[in-house]
Amino acid sequence: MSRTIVIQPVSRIEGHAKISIQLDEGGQVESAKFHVTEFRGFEKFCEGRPFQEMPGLMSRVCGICPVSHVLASSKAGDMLLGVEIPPAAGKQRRLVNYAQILQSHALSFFYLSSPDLMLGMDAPAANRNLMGLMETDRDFLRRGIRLRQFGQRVIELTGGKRIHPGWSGPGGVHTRFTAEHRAEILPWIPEAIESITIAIERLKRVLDSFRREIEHMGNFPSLFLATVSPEGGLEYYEGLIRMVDASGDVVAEGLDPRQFFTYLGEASEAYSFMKAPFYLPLGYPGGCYRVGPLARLNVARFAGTPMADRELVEFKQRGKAGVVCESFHYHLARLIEMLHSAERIRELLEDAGLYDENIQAKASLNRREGVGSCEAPRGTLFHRYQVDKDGLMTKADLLIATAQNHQAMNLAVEQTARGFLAPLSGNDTPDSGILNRIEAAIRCYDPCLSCSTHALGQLPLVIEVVSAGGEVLRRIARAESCPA
Amino acid sequence: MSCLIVATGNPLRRDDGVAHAVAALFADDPRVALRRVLQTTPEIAAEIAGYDSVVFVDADLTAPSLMMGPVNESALCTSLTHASTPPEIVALSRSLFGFAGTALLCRLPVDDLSSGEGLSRRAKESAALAVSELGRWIEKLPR
Repeated sequence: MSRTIVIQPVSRIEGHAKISIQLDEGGQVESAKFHVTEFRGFEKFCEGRPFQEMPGLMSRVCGICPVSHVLASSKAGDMLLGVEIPPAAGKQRRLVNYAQILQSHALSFFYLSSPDLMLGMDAPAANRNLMGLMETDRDFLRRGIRLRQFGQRVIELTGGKRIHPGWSGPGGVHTRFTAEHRAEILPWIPEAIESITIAIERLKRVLDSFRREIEHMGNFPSLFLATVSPEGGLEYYEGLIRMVDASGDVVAEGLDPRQFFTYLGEASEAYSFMKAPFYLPLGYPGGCYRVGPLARLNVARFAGTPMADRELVEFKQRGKAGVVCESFHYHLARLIEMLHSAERIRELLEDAGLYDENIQAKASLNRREGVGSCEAPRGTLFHRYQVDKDGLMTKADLLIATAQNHQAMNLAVEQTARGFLAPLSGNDTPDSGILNRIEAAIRCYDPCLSCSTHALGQLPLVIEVVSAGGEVLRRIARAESCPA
Repeated sequence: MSCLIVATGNPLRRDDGVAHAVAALFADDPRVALRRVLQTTPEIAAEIAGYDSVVFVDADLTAPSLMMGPVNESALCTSLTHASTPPEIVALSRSLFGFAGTALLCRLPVDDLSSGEGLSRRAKESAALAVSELGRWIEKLPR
């Protein structure tokens, strides 16, 4: 008889989800799916609001990466105003974005994934958490907590709040960055860089013990998409979109992120509230691409800071033609990005232009459509707004990083289930370490499900009642797709 | 003796913001430092280490009345998310950051955690009582 194994809730991720694994008559994995079981309504309930309110509203999409939404929204607002913001405002936005990358990655690596990486996938579930790390690896955990504290503090000093900072808006930012801020942040950087370096070395040392996981937990060819500088370097705030494939061939280059909707499409699947974006020229599902730390390091030719550049060169040697396909290496990519962010924060603090008093460009509405994008911790984020003649929102379209990894996460779950789950018979219960590996495949992507399920409208909800013989007894369908 | 009040909750979920309302009433009190958070996360462990005592204030739908007492440091519930409970925060702080002070948990009975602003009558009464009780407790701290 066929069986379905359900892992719910998926633990140590941001949000609520479940994984279902369908077994065939012989107890072998037939298919596996990652279901996002929450939904929200940001694209809908902001309709009718003045576009100037959008950064504040959008910051509420997420408590982990609110800065990304504020920045993408502010940039869409800049475009609606038709202004170029003052350089100091751009530098502040970059500073806070780097701080956010750093704090969010620290959370993902140290709080959520280190229990697996440092204690082992098969460690007792009761110990596979921060408390377990506290017992075995105090200095490592202390450094991880301090790193997140550092990133959060930079955001708080610059943006006024650690969570949902509303200091940036259309035309620039609202408060100056001062020498007093610098005086608090700068002394913290050597410790941050030392802690990240220690974590990188620690992770590299344990990678050998995860050879099977590296091979079977989401190791597949795909496209990779990220923002790069005009020279092809790592870029998180403003640049051009570049895509490479698993062979390192450039699939697209120099794409304008403000035109993302001309080359990226969104499909809906019945089993999840999260959409499935794809590269339009290759269609769905063939146009599956990945975003986030792994994609950024695969797509960029260089980092642009000394320590991160050294790590990036070594990192690229792990893949063919400089492209790493193993999802497990999202963790190492994340740490290299943290190192790069700390180096960039130091550079920005030493830039006199950061402290300039001109931080806001004033203008009234000059366009009816604005698009903003940036690199969020989990990947490329796009906001597209349309407004009426009074500047009231008529449409919002958010293309979220986590959703862009939707297909990849499904592939990773299925591959992990096939690779680790032995045939089951009767009511056999899978080993908890095996189920943890399936969850860990998702954790590689650090999905933020609060961000990714912002759409409100008709839900793509289909409930099927299936007999043991596979016959669909009843099908309840509310809709086949979500509005974009 | 230094004291930190950690007020936890979301003021946009009505009574869930009651701890923030309590914190607001201590805003001008030189005896305490305040930290307002949406949820308690491990970074709080690093922050409380600099104080002699810490009070976690939070709304609680299950509390029959205002409940103040030491944080039960043996009640570690191994969080599955990035947030941690006060017992976990205190354990982390003692183990990793050298916190050696006293830790108190103040649970305020509330009725309504729905979306929106403003406190129910029960939450307002809880807040007033908590301010009074906390004031007395702080007054007894060694100077």
